[in-house]
Amino acid sequence: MSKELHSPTSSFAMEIASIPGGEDIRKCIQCGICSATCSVASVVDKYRPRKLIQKILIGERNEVLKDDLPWLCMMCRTCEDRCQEGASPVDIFHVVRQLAVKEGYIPDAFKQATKTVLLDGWMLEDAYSDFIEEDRENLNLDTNLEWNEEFTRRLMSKYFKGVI
Amino acid sequence: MLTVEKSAQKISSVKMGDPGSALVVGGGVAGMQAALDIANQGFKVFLVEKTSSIGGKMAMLDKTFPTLDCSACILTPKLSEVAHHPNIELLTYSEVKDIKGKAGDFKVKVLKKARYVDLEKCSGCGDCVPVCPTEVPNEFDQGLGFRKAIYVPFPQATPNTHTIDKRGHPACRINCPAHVNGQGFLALIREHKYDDALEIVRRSIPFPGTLGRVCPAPCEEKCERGLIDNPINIRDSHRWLADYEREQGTYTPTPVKPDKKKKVAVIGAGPAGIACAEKLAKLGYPVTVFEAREKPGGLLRYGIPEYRLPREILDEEISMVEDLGVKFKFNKKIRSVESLLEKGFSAVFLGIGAPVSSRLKVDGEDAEGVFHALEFLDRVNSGEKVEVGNYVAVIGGGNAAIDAARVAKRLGAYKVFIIYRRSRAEMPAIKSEISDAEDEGIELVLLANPVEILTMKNKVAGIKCIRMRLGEPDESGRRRPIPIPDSEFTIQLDNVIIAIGQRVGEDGPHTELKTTSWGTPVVDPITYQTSNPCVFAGGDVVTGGGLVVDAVAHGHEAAESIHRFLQGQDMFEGRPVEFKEIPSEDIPKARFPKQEKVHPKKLKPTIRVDSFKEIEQGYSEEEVLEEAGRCIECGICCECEQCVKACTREAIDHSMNDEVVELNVGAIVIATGYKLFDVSRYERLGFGIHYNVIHAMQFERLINAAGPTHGHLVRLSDGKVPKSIAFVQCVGSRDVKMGVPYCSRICCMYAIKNAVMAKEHHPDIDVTIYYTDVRSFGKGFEEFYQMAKRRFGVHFIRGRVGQIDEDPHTQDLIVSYEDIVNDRLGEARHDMVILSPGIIPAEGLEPFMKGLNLRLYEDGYIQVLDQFVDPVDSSVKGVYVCGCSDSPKDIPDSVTAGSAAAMHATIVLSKERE
Amino acid sequence: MKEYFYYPGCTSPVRLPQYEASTIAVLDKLGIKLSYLHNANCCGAQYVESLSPNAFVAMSGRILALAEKFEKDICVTCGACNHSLKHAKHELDNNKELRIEINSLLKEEDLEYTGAAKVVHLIQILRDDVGIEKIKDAVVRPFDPSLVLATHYGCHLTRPWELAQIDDPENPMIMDHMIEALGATVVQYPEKTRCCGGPLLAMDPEASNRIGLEKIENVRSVGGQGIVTACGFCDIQLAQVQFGGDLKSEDRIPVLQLPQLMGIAFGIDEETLGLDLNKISPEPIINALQEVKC
Repeated sequence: MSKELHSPTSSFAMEIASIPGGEDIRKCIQCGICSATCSVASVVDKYRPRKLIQKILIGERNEVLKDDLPWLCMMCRTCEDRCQEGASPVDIFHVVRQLAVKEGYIPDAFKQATKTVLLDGWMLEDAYSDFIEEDRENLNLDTNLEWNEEFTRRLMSKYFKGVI
Repeated sequence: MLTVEKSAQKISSVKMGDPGSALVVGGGVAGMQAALDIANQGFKVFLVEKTSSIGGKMAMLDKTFPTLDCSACILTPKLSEVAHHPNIELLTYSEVKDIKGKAGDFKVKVLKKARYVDLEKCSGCGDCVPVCPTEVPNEFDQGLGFRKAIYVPFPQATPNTHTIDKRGHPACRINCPAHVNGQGFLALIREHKYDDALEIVRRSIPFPGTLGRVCPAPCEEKCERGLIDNPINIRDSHRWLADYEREQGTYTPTPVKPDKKKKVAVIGAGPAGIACAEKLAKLGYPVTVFEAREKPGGLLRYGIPEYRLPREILDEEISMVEDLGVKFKFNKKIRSVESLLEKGFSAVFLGIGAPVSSRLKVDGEDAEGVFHALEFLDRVNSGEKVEVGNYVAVIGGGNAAIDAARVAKRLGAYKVFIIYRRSRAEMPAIKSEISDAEDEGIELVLLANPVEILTMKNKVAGIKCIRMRLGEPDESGRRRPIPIPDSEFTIQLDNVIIAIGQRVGEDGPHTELKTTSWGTPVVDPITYQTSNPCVFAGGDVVTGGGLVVDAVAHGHEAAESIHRFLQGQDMFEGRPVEFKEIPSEDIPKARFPKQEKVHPKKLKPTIRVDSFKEIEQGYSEEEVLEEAGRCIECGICCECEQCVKACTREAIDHSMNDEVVELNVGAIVIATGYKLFDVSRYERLGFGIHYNVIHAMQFERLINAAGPTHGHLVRLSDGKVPKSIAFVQCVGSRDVKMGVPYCSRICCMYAIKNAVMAKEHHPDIDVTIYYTDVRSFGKGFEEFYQMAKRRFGVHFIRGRVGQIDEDPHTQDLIVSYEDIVNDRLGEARHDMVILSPGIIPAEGLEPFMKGLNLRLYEDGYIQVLDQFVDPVDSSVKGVYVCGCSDSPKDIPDSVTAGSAAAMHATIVLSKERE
Repeated sequence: MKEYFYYPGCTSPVRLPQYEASTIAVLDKLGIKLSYLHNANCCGAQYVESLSPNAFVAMSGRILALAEKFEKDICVTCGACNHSLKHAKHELDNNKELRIEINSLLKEEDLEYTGAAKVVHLIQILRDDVGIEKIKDAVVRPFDPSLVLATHYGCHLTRPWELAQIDDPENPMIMDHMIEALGATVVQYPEKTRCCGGPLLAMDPEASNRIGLEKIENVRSVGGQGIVTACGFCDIQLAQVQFGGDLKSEDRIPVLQLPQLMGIAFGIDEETLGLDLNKISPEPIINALQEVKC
């Protein structure tokens, strides 16, 4: 329970609105169509996109940035397709995630996956076993999956210093 | 008489009004108010309304908010007042098409669409409605029920006259050379009115039974039903009508006493001549038909084999023409037209056909055992015993070739070939005839052309052919056959029958006239008059070989020409008859499920080749009713004229035309109202996909005692009373993506009203409204909202509905929503869901934009001069707006705006008065 | 013969190599040649995408620049790659500063993004370059209409419409029509446009499974006998979830990728299509082929 002052169009909401992709937060009228539509909300009780946006609007900055909730969105964009105000909760949550990273919170799964992909150049280097190599051979497919890791390693040092 | 004949007359134009009068566009409640207020100040008003009655959307409503007053009770006195006001001239079923001028002097062109009902004579009794055979979805009932082609939209319609909805002429009727009214007679078959149906067919062709057996049915080529599954079998349907009459023995001869003195001669008792004689006899002329052969019929008797057309049928149908009073003289060959004119005939029709077979022009063509198709068929059909050998080849791909081949088989040939130089797809014969021939064992030798008939002792021994391939198209549009070098082959044969075409004879009465290079007489394409003004010609003698129905069409046209010629009338006026074609996309087909064509019975091939017994058995009564039931009624009104028969006041006139009224007015009030947003655009809400999702106006019609269910609220899927219903708000409103970002102002209140009405009908119904906000801003609105909650127990859930799914077993609906107030996600099951559509501007403003530069907002509403202090003035001086034409409004605000606009209009008119 | 670079993404080569193989075989039969884009990297979907939008555009941008250098357009078979590459293209085409930033990174490899290379998904190639008529013509043995299949498009194929430009997100039918051209009957089912649940796997595997299973139940409730996909992730997810939850093993329905289904009807042999690698055997689908008419 935060001791911050709650007010609509809080400074947190303004902050989100100022980052590219977060402008849509100003459009939300809290109608609930995104929650009604959301696949994740239908199976995960605590997650409802409207509620999460509401938390942003009333300024619960700490709670939102340190929670797993913004990371549960599957980015399926069905809510974006249906929102009658033209807002995109997906874009808003992307901005929230970027802010969370800056403030030092990244769920483990994301941290690990990002590290892997930047170091190896692709996701499944470790999973590429001999069995699978054999399957590919039987299908007459190239077994040497030449992924480039040099570029992604450069990206790691440029964009992710101190982050992962 | 073809009622359509008069439709080509010029549209008449009437001028009305003066600068001291006003025009109100739109007969809804706002428009009516404006008209009354202007008229009550002593000015003349023209009230133009697009539909057939004034009343607008308010006439569709059951009750109004927030007082729950009955909408019709408030509206009908106004309807009556408008109708009876001496200063108001109602122009209903009319649209503004063109407008120019300025305040004080506008010139407006209004198109008064033809209702085909005389407003003065019609008393609104409705005797015409039960006899109309055509039903279409009822627009007034929002597609929930049906109405007839002749209809009154609602009981208090003003003017209280019926209107006939004619979309145009169906493709079957236009494509038929004789313009048989296919839709018309099929409709009457469905009504079991077989006599009337047959009468409709006989208006256009004298041989429904004959043509029902031999016509290749060009009507079916363009039948719109063919775009859904198969074209309607129109031909066998009118055949059945003729057969039914035979079976019932109900034919009674109706001779026509000639009332004209001038005699007409017809040369040739083929289909062209007989049709011409028939029509002339009906017009009251004494007609004599001269026929060179012993019996009438032409190629119908001497060309077409008996297994396709039994002689009794032909004889009976021709004798019906004789019964009209037409005189036939057989065994009379006429060599000269002049001789007939000298004998006292005032006009002559030549229908002598093209009886000469074209020659193949190969060696051996004159050998013994070679027949030419027309002579071959003639001899067989005359009763002669013609001998053929075991192996016969027919050259050609048309109907004569097929006929010759199948006759040869019946005469005992063991193997019959048809040799044709192009491929099967290009064969001109009727497709079913070709496959019937194959079923009888006849072999098609395609892409082959004879080069020589091989003879032994000048008797046919065989044929040498060369293989062909198809090259570029020739003038006929078909691909040209090109011989393949060194590909000759031979077949051993006993007979060769050449059926490659027909020509007109070398001598005969037509040689007295100007002829074309093919020897056919030159005729005017519209009147069929030849170079001798008293002589007319039609049928094969003009075309060189065409369809029976073409010959009939020529005969009828020539008869009309002869009639006009003898009466000294203009031969070309109103000809050719102009038909109103209907674009295929304007004919809705989605509501018809696929239904296979009914196939009439045929004798089996193994039985048939032994005799000349008729092969096609035609339909049974059950079958023809089923087939006629597949017609989708392209033209809506089919001009069957059952309504004309039923109307005791002679108020119906199918020959009416659209009229143009030119109005001169000083001021205009635009009250064009609104359209409902098309909620089927929200696929996630299931309108048009799930049975039990309807929209609010459909709900109004369901609970309205004058509606399609007489006021019973029932589910569309099973007719049961729903136990739990839901209203969904903001559908087609407050949606930036759908181009309607604004609030429609009335949906919250009308939904609450509908919810309360549902409870009044069935107190135990569970009613929920899923809303975004409840906008109850007006006087009495908030109290109404609270009453709905507290007294009636309507549930209000704040949360826009995400989607509506259907339970496939019960057709119940599952609504996904977030209950924001109670902080939970939900999936609720409802029996019925009503979507509350937003409203959008109506159509029809283009003439104002083009002619007066009327400005609209981006969302399509009319711009007002100033939303605060000049809310009823448009951007054009002298043009005022009211009702929903400039912004969404409820009824009281619309009426107020109507009065305000009327006031501003009369300020202009008063100046004119001075 | 039209040629494209094939960018299969990270997942398909390892988890679904049969998708790769059947895509190559089917497109070859239809006159489209695919060659691999060597030396590429992950498109950056999902994870890098969430953490740094610029790094995300850089990763996808490099793939586009590579294709541009070797002068061919890119064909993708994964929904996520479809979105990543089209998103990167849109951003780089419209944001000058971003383009300058990314090009400065690419400069080191002598790569430059100017926007010349286009990105299309397999379905677009089948619809626009090949066409339904040619697909129909290539069918050697059509399926019997008694075979009832359901389609799953996935999220990144159709949404957002402005980027994807493949089909109407609320009512996608393009795959349905292609499957009907193969002879099978396609059935519509509740919540057809819902996500497969795959992206939630990392954060909440149980929820992810429930979402996937709900989809399977919806398909089964209308009599669907199999699901056809056009995204590697979705395929893996929809097959995997059937091995959990309450679903009995005999109630499992096969999941195939579109080119596998097409390949069966085109008469391509099962080994080439890798059908034995599908977790749930597509035997009932193969058995639904019509008899060849003599």
